[in-house]
Amino acid sequence: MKNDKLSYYLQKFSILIVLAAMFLVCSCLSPYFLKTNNLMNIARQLCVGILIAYGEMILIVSGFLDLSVGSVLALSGVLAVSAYKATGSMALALLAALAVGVACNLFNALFVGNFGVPAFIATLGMQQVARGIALYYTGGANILQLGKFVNIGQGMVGILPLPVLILIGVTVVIWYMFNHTSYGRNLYAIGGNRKAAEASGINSIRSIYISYAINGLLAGLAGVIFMARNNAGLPNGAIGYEMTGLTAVIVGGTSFTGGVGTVMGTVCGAFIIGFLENIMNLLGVNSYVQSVIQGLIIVLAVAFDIRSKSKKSSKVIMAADDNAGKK
Amino acid sequence: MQCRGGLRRKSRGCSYMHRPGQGKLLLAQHPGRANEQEENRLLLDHRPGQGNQLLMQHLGVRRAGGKPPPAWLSLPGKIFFPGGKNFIKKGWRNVKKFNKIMAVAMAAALAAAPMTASFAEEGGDPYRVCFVARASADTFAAWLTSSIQEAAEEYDDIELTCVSGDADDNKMASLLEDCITKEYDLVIVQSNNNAAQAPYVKNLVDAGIPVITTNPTTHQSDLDGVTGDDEVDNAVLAGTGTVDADPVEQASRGAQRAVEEVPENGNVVVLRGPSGNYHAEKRREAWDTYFFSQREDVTILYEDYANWNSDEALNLMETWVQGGTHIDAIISMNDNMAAGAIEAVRNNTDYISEDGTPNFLAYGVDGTAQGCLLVKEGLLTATALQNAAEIAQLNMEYAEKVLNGEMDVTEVNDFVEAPEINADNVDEYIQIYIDNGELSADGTMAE
Repeated sequence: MKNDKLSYYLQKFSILIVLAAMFLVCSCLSPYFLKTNNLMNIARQLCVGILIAYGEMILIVSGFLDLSVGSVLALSGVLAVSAYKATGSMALALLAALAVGVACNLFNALFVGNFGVPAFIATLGMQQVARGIALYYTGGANILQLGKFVNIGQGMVGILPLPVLILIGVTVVIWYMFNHTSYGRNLYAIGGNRKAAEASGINSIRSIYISYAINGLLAGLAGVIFMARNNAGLPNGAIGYEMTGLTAVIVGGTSFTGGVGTVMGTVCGAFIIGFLENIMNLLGVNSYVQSVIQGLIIVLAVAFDIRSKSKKSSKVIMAADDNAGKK
Repeated sequence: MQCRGGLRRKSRGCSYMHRPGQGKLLLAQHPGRANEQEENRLLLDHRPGQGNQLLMQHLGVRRAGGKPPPAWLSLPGKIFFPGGKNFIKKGWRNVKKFNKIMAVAMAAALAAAPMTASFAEEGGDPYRVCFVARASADTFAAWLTSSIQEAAEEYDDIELTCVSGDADDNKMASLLEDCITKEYDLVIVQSNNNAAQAPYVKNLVDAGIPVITTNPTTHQSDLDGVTGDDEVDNAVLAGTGTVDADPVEQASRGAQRAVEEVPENGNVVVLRGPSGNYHAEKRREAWDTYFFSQREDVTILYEDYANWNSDEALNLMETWVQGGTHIDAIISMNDNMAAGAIEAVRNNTDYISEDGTPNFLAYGVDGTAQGCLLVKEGLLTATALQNAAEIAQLNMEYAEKVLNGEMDVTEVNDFVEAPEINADNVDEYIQIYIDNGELSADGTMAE
């Protein structure tokens, strides 16, 4: 009985175990890894990635995805910077970024939800469109002289960086949404079986629009933090960030086929990648070698997670067979 | 033709040869131009009820009736209008329908396109020049592209098309092949990867299209391989001209200063551009030649590729400063990466003292607006200007001369100078950026 409980917890928290193991290994590999500043750096560096990952998670859980998030981030970021430079108002800049993020994603939702275009294709198109607009608008040049705009990316509140505080707030909201709202539960239902979810009265089109809109809000917020961190409006920034977000989500145990995923898993997934990048940079590993190691560890982490979960499901099936036999 | 560049430049063996009649010769070499004129004539000849026939004939479409259609012709019909028992007949009717649709669509597209005939009325078609940029998402390439567009506006006889390779060698290859198909009169190429693009540049030369390679120069060794003989390896690709900045000279500006400035037994980090990029590799080589070979006491704590990107450099530097050893100098192959690395230590009290003075050195290349602002702030020790506007102006100036037969493309061989920008002279460069609108006069807010 005790063993069953232990294996249940081992399986449930397998991703946390991987993260803890990585933390221990990294601590042994470099004496600088455990320094407060370094851990704070990792958190700061992961803020943008985790915000993106939350958006991707919402979509992947409901059976969709977004390949345009890096470009939408860049577009909303440069427009926010421009809005700030034109008005001097941080609130307006933030509003502009969120509005642009949502607008781009409503287009995604329109094509995915109403026209039935596969999410991969629709968002791939938006990836090109958003990046093109960002480059066209800026002429490909960085926007400089950001003034106090940088505070949202570089500022501190007490001992905590402001982006980390924002991330904590967003995490609480996303966690609550997934676990305590009917919308959150609808996402799992749509991702698990869309037709069954619709048959049971869930409006899947509405959910798609809301999911993409939330993804847009997160991309807009991430765009503002990204540009402020870099102290420049970078139209060519965040290229490939959709993969950063997707990797964190998948490593965190979210099923690419939909219906499965947790906020804790996504945060753990992001930190596994973050620790890995950090320790390799601290050890001075060449970036090409880093790619090889990162790829292998991601595959191993996911394989471990899938294996532990498949053990769990096979045990449930065996238990069900036993019960049926007894009857 | 006057050089409108605001800065000095030096010319390497340039000579100007007037070759009367070469302009006409160029046109004669491109039979496709005649085809274009034929298309325009067909459009101008358009009459209700007749134009479609003319266009159909021009497009090789057969009239209905006469011989029965061959069976293979039903294939497009089957693809676009599937179904039906008598599919060959139906397919043929569908082919006609499809061809009519295509003819109308093409007529509409041709009518919508700006007709070069308007220029012809004023005395001749403009020369068609294509600039193939390595990437639109690269800060410097974007600066160069916009500068070339601005420079081209000065020339009424040049119609410029700009395309971007998006830092993708495969796309670069396709774009260069397209330039042959489209029979441009002259092509300006900014390679992403010299060795990868060299065969395609040679194809352009073989097709009789004059080519100027720019920032970076394409060398003969990019095509044939490095021989070890500097003279052979540094020769410009046969049949092409070049307008460039010398990456070794650019990087040597900072490197020579660093020999004097980096403290004894100092620790440095190196941020590199994309692997395989000519300027990235040559700038790094210059640091070896002018700095590391003379300062063997210096330790490279970390060295990595940030691919010209500010955000990648920021993330690298944030981690490197946790390494426990004070970094005495940031050696960056461009200003963009230097800016990212500097952002990582801007609020770090180990690197910026209470009065705001930095206790680290930083060197870049490019002299971008951002680089100049950092020099002004005292955070970037020095950079070297790579003036995209001047490179652009020279490219267009030489392009026009070549197209008008005033010189041969192989005689185009010009390198802009790389003046050092430091705390003493940064104001004059900031003023250039204020004048061109990239920076605001108050230095803080307006675009």
